[in-house]
Amino acid sequence: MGMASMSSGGESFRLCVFDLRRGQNEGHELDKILFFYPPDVTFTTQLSLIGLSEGLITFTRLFSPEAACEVIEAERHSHVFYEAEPDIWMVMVVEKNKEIEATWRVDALRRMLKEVHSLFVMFHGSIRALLEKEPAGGLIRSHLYPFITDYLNDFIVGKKLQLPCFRDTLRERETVQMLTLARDAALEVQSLVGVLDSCAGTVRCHSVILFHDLLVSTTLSPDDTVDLFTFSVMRLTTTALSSGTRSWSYLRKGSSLSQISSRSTSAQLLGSSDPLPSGNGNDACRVVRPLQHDKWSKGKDSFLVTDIWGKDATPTICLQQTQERVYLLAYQYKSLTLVLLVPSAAIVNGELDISFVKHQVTENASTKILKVEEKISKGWGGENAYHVSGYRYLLVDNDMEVSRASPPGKVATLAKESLLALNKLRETVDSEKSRSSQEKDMEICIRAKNNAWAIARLTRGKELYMALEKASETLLDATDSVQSFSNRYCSGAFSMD
Amino acid sequence: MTMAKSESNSKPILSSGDVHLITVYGRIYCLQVDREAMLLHSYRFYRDAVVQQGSLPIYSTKLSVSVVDNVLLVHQIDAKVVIIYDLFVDSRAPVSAPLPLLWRGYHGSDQSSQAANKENESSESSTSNEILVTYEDAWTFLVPDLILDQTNKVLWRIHLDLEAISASSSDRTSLLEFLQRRKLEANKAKQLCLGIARAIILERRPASQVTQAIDVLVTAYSYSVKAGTYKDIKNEKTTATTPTVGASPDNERQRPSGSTIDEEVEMNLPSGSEENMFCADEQQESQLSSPAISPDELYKFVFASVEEMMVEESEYLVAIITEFLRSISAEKLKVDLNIYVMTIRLLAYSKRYAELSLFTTNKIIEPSKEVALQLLESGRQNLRVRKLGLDMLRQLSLHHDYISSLVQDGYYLEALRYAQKHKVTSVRSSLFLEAAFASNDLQHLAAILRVLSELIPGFKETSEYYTFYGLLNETGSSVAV
Repeated sequence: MGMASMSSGGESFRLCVFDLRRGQNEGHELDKILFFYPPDVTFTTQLSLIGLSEGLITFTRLFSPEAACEVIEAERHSHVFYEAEPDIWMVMVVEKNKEIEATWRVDALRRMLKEVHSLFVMFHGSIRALLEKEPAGGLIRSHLYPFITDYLNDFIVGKKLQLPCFRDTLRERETVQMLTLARDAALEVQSLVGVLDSCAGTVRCHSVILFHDLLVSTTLSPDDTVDLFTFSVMRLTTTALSSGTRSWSYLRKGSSLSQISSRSTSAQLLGSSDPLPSGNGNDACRVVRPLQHDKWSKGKDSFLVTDIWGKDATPTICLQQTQERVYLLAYQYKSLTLVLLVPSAAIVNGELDISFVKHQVTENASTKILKVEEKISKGWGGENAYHVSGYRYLLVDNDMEVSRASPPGKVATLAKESLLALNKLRETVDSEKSRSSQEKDMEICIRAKNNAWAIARLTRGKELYMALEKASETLLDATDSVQSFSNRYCSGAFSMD
Repeated sequence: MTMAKSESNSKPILSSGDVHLITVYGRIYCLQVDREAMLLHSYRFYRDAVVQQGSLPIYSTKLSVSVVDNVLLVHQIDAKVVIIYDLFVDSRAPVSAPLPLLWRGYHGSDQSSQAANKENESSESSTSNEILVTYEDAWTFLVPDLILDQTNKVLWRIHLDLEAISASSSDRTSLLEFLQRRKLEANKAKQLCLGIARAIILERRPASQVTQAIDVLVTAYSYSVKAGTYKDIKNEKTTATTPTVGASPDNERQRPSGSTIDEEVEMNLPSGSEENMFCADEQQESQLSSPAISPDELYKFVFASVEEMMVEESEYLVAIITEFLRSISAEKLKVDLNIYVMTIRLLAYSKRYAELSLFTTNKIIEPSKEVALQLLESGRQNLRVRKLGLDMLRQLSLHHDYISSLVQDGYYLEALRYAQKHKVTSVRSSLFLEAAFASNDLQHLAAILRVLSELIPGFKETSEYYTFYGLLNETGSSVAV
């Protein structure tokens, strides 16, 4: 039904998840398949892709047991590999065509796989754990299917999947974009964080605070922060809530159906189009679809509400660092979104305790929230706050998993040639980086066809990519520009001689 | 003036003993006893008007008032207790529970010529004074704080026992406010405030309560600095001999100007008598003009002194410190940078690295060499934190430390390049050479030898050069230096 018909034209995109430990006997090959997109292709096609991938993995493992196959560049397709969990692989196949728009960067595609996987783990736990819970595989399939499909829906523009291409080269998935705070604002924020910490009594709560789509503060580890940040920007922040335009045919249908019978919607809706012999559906357990669109709204008490987890049920997520399950409460005041994570240890009486925590937040934190919002919005430079005139840049800090880039509107003014050159440059850097695990310093400058400079500088876990269209004269001018950028905006982190 | 009437036709009679004029905080009040309503009405005299200020309940038909150190004492003579009010605030609540009067320093009636002290104190600490009776009929209350005792032929003077008052008051925040307004025994008030601040932290009172208390102290300090009652004197004379009480573990890291200690003395003091108040508190007691506590003192005598006991609850302590920093930043005050070092230690102890990096990048923890070194130290368990320390060293242009730390981490080429760029020659050249030699990279070794001989004049004549040049040749490399 809906899903299949709208997936972009047949062969151009495939995504599969399979488990190498399953289906090792002849005749049981189908057991391997945990997910396949688009869902309407025949098993033979599915198996041939998975067979090929498995063969390559086995073969490359002979030489490199730790990091097997990363990518296959075939004549007409690129196959991007990602080992999400031991022996559980995700493979994305994208069609190469002559269109210049279809210039990808493999690492950007792989980061999509990483992202959807870590989001999945955050909500449902690891794939392996679900497989162990129900070895027949029905459970994991019924979870993966709606999850990845909902995720991919974010990339659908019109009727086509719009994958990250060279135009997105000055953007880094799986990183967090931070708001720069003045000291006094930062102190107010930390003071608020202190209050949020203790909202559930003696058990400490974690919290993540966003302003628009930028991170203000976090008490989580970088990995958990990235996942929660990604999810918040996708579904919770003011921008996410207001962009109702995101939902097209499928989701409209989905949501109207779910109103009729919210208990079984997802499983049935997807199950009917699910050609896999999963045999679930009547497993009775409702499959939660955390990435469903248009399911969050702001309640009267300023907390965000959703019925994804059932009526009046509070969502839970799993933290990677501590492996503990926490309740997720989101509070919104103007452009400020607070995500409060309450350890399940603090919630003994279910929703009763939840409403107590909510009450504590409104009681103890609301004045501080007001103050923080006021302070931050006063100091905020708006959408183009981090634009540096003359530069189009991307700054990545791999240690903190933080990135900052020129605003998309400004990047769009770059010539196609510059972006292509930069994309190419990033591809080179990616392969350089994957060759050794050690951090190294690196500097590459290349001249694009349109005489623009594409520059990459790496130093001790920090990366700077830059396109300079105006400094067209000499290499010396270009490096000078990078130098002054580094001194002014990166406190000299990229200064070389 | 109004007075409640018991019957509609009986006229209220106002006797002279029912009206008291008092001065507190430079304001003039008139207090009037209303026995019918059992209230003490207060009126404030302005230049051009008299305004009623509200009424206090009374519990005795016989009543008198005294004023000590701007505190209003209402003697409930029948009940033989004193209720203490601080009219500074609008609240009409007493400062503490009713307290009895207590004799102190009385040496018998033969020495009646000398005025003895009489104090407000809680009963349990009273010494044997059974001979004397408080609130005798023969007492005459004199303005503002004297009592003429005709039976014993003594003139009493009333003192406030701040300790007893704080012991019988449960609202810590208003108690701190009260203590911060005391002038007569500023030092005692100050010590009590510090004690209260320590106690509420050690008792793990809710952070909001502690925050309020800290806000009180910081605001009072800021106010007294603006008003000029608190004088920050850098004491140069006693530097060598002054020990610091309640010393922090990082005592050796004193402020850059040497171990100067902030102290407060009355402004008209001869300069010779300046001493650290915490060592000579008994003599200095009277010299303090304000109980205000500077942020540095709060750090030293509160935070640093509780750190050891609170390590296991560092999250709580960090929350309190954050509030303290917010409070002093709002008042535009500065604090001893050791508090930042301590914050890093606490955050690293509880493995809250995410917050540690937020604290550092947002400059809640202000950058300094000490902070950077602590980051490097705490970063032994976490590379990200260590990098924060390195970045800070670089941003502070502490070239020598930056280069040494880089070499220590194995980035000797980057270190040398940095040394070359900034013409830093103070780092031992053997560090680079040994690092390169240890990594078994002869090309690097050769490059380093070449760079060093350009960087350091006369390097080619040193034994080091010969040693490593020799090593290079021995291994038969074809790399030219």
